[in-house]
Amino acid sequence: MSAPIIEFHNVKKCFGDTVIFSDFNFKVEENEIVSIIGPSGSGKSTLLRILMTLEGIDGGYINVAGESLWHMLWQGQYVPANSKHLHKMRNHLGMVFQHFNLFPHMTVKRNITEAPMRVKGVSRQEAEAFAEKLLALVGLADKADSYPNDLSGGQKQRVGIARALAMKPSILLLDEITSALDPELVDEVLDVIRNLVKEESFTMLLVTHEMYFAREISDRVCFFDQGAIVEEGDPEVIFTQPKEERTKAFLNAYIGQS
Amino acid sequence: MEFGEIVSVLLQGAIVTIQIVAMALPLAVVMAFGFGLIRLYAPSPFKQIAIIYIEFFRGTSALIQLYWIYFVLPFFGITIDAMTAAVVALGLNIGSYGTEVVRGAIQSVPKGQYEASIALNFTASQRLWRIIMPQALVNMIPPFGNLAIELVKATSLVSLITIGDLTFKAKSLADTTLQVGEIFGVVLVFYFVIAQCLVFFIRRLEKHLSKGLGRGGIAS
Repeated sequence: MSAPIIEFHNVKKCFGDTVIFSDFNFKVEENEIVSIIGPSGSGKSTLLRILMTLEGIDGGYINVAGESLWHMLWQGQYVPANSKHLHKMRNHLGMVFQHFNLFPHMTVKRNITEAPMRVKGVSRQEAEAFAEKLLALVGLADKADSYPNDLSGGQKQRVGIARALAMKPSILLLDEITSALDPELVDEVLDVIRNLVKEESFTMLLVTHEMYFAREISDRVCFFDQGAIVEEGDPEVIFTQPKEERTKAFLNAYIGQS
Repeated sequence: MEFGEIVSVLLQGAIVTIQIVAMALPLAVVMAFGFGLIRLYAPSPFKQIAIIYIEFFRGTSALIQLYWIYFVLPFFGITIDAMTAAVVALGLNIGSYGTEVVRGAIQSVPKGQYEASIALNFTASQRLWRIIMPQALVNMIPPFGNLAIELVKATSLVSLITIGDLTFKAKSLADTTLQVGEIFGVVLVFYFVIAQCLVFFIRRLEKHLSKGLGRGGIAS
């Protein structure tokens, strides 16, 4: 078995005086789909944001694809990464955001083609051909020339997925991608992810409140609380026979709601 | 004096006023963007310089700034003609307000836009110029429009450093003919028309830049 594609080693993260992670260890294997569930404020999103280099860390180290994410070798020593190193490391990663964060001044097509063209130097022709393919994949082939503000929330998020895929990341981070959507729009977005993992293998890390989706799609589910993994394992086991009291309480609260 | 003659004399003054606006406005925009970006992104010593510039030109009278540049600087060996002094003083003055417009507009672009552009691995300069600035520009246009109109009105100060602008011509005509009602009536109309031309242009620009952003602005 090859080395894990993501490894957290004793990672520490604080926001001011608030400690999010104190000694956090975590691994994800290549092509593994891992769902992270847990109460708000438990550090789930922070985990993804650290991986996407949107948040720094205060201790420990993280490897992505065998290379340190937040540090680089300089004269035989590990030093904090510079922007060039981060730029290189980000090529492994793609992220879909809770609030879509589409670029409102660009058409849907340009939202998808801009980064491949400007960052990777892909030709316009190639980028547009791939964008059309991705739009077909997310069921929005007819919206290429629309602006984001003319789309529904579900459509926006499907564009968000296409935009992240356009950079061909080996690791896809999904940060509560349906939390900002009306209930009737959730499934059109989740269906895109379902189809995606059917067709291609991805390393995927998703933070979600959609328990049935986590159960159905994941290879592993991690229950997070207060910056630590309380319990993790096969989704069937976690959702049907959780061992920890905190996991039981959390899942009961969810089942009670729906 | 006949009304037609009054109008034609004042028209000469109006042309001078328009010339000053046409030169001071680009200077103000350059200062606004230059110091606005320095204020946001440059290392600390440059930031301090930007803050000094902004606070000095915002915090003192435009007329005194004009007097300094035209009457006082020659004592330090720097002599510039009245027209240049007018353009520099007004450009720097309006530019100092514009700096804050640029800064505020850039900061008002939602944080998620920065995050998405990092996640897509754009470089820092691509993030600024391709993602943030096009959205910030739309926010800048209305306050910049106000400043442009402020500039038109502030040009009347240059009549006090011997420039034959609209206000200068009006005062000298009024002194000689005493037809104050007609003269200052025409002057009001001229200033109004100049300002309205700017407003028209600014509206066109705003419409052009806000494509896709919708009326509600930039949420998405």
